[in-house]
Amino acid sequence: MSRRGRLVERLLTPLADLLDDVLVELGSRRARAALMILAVGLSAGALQSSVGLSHQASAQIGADIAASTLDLVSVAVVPRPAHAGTTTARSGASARQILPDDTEARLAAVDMIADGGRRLDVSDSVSPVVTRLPSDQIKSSGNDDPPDVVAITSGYLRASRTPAPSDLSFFLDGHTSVAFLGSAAAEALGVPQTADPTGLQIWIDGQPFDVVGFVGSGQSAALSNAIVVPYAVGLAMVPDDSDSSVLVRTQPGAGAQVAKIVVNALRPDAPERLAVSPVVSVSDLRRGVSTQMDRLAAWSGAILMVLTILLIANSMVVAVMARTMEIGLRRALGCSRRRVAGVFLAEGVLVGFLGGLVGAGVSAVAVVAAAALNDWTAVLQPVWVAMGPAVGVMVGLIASAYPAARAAAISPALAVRSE
Amino acid sequence: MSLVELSEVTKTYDVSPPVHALCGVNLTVGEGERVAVLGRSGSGKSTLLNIVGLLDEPSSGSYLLAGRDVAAANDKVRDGLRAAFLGFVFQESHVLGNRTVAQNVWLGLMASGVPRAERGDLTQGVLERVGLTHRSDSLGRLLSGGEKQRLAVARAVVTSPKLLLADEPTGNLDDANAASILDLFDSQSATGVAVLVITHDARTARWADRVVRLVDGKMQPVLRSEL
Ligand SMILES: Nc1ncnc2c1ncn2[C@@H]1O[C@H](COP(=O)(O)OP(=O)(O)OP(=O)(O)O)[C@@H](O)[C@H]1O
Ligand SMILES: [Mg+2]
Repeated sequence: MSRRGRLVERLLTPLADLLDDVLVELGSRRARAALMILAVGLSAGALQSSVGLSHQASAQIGADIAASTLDLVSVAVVPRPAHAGTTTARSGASARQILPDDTEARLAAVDMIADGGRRLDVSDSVSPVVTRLPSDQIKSSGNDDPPDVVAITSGYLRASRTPAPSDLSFFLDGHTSVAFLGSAAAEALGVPQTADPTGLQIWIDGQPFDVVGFVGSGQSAALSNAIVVPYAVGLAMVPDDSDSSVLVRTQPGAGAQVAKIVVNALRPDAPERLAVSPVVSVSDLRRGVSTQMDRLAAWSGAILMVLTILLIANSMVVAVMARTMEIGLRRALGCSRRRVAGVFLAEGVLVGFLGGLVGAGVSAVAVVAAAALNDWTAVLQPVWVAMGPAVGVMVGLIASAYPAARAAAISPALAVRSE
Repeated sequence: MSLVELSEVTKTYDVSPPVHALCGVNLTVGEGERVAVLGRSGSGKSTLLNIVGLLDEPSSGSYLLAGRDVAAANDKVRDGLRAAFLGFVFQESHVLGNRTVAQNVWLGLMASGVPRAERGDLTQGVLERVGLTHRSDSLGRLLSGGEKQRLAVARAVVTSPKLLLADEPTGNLDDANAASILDLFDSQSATGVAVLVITHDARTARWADRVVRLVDGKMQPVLRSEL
């Protein structure tokens, strides 16, 4: 045999012997082996599935909570189908306009709506040139992200909780060429953000706009890089209002109900032209729930693990005593203390590994079953299949450490005297 | 050079009151020699066997095994010497009941680090010599007393030891079974294996080349005529 072959054999033979040894032992006491594997399997499975289920449950509960605390609804204009004919100009809306002029009034008429208003991102459909002076091109001050022209009504400002000088927001509902600047937009244009901007002007497509104030960053609207102009003024710059949307803030928790009726309040004649979507935000409450549930699941799983470790350790200590004669015989035949310890460690590892596989199966079944019962989407992570045996091997190693040490410590002279 | 050379070996068990199991034992066993140890119960025979077999350490005195001082050798050296030089046959045969006959033999081969590829042939060969080929797949616990003892001999000799240590190997056997064990020992000593056997049995004592008696932890020679 080659030197390398001999080296490989020297390394592999003890491992193969150990495996054979443990397999023979487990095979000769199958009921005991099965019980130990089952114990690891159940506890590893319980840990895995409780973590998995709590993850799923908390996600579900979080979604429920989010729905119950939902108070923002967004209504978007559905793009006109290509073949569609004329839309009748009723409800105060012209043919090129889906959202009626009295949108804000219609929203105000709904009980559960606190605030609401229209928004139109002018820069999305046309590209207006914004300058500081009539003749200027925009000065690029480091960023090539030019300010967006956004047309809104004062109702939108309130619904989005955007900080702005409220005594001047009535401008947004009129037809005057005025502008509020977001902080990034003001900086890009070189407009100083003073308390009294009287006399400051900017130019949009060569038209002068008086700067009347500045807007902060809203809770649900990013207007930092925006030139905010009155909705009617912005609407005049674009061919139609197909890029418009409506933001509605409802009474707390009324989001779901409002979502059902808001379209009919706006366009009872053509509800198909509007689409409603809730604006979901991740709340701290939700996160709190999921970490608490995860922690609870992890704790109960950990306690199960410890119980399993004690159970298996106990069973193996008993086995060590019952196998005292065998241990003495092995020592007499020339086995080292380490080899004797290895028999029990390997048994623990193998039982743990097999138990972990069982556990991965158990948890997969549990998660799928729970999901089916609750009408949730089952979330099965492939990493579990590996995690089960890994956890099992750890359990087996910890559980067999003490029995193995005891077996190694047995005096061979005494052991061969036992029967 | 003798295989085993014990001089002034004592063994005191540290219990209260202390037990002086061996008090200055001198014993030599030459290569291929058959030595029988007689003695009343509690005279220290098993203690002596454990010390010669490196399962226990003497409290004082010297022990040379194949010329090597092993009285205070470390575990690793002892384990290695047991695997390479020694074979044990215990009084209760110590057959593992939950393993097959072949697996019991395999245990000895594994401990001695015999390559896996050679184990099958060695096991078959030794089971044939002790007449257990047909029981090779039976569980150890199903064997009769005589079969168990033959299996124990097979397990001890399969690794070709230099010294066979047997503690009353024929104590529980009828005449025919006892004779077959002695025959197995004979075939071993014919190939140069030394045998140290503890016995109560006059027939086993007569079989040996030399007989000694332990009396209160001391060694006395025994004359042939006494047997
Ligand atoms: N580990 C021990 N601790 C304390 N005393 C021991 C121990 N082992 C043996 N003895 C004592 O040492 C003495 C010798 O015991 P040993 O087993 O060597 O006797 P033996 O000659 O083999 O007897 P038997 O023929 O009955 O097997 C006995 O008195 C025994 O009680
Ligand atoms: Mg004895």
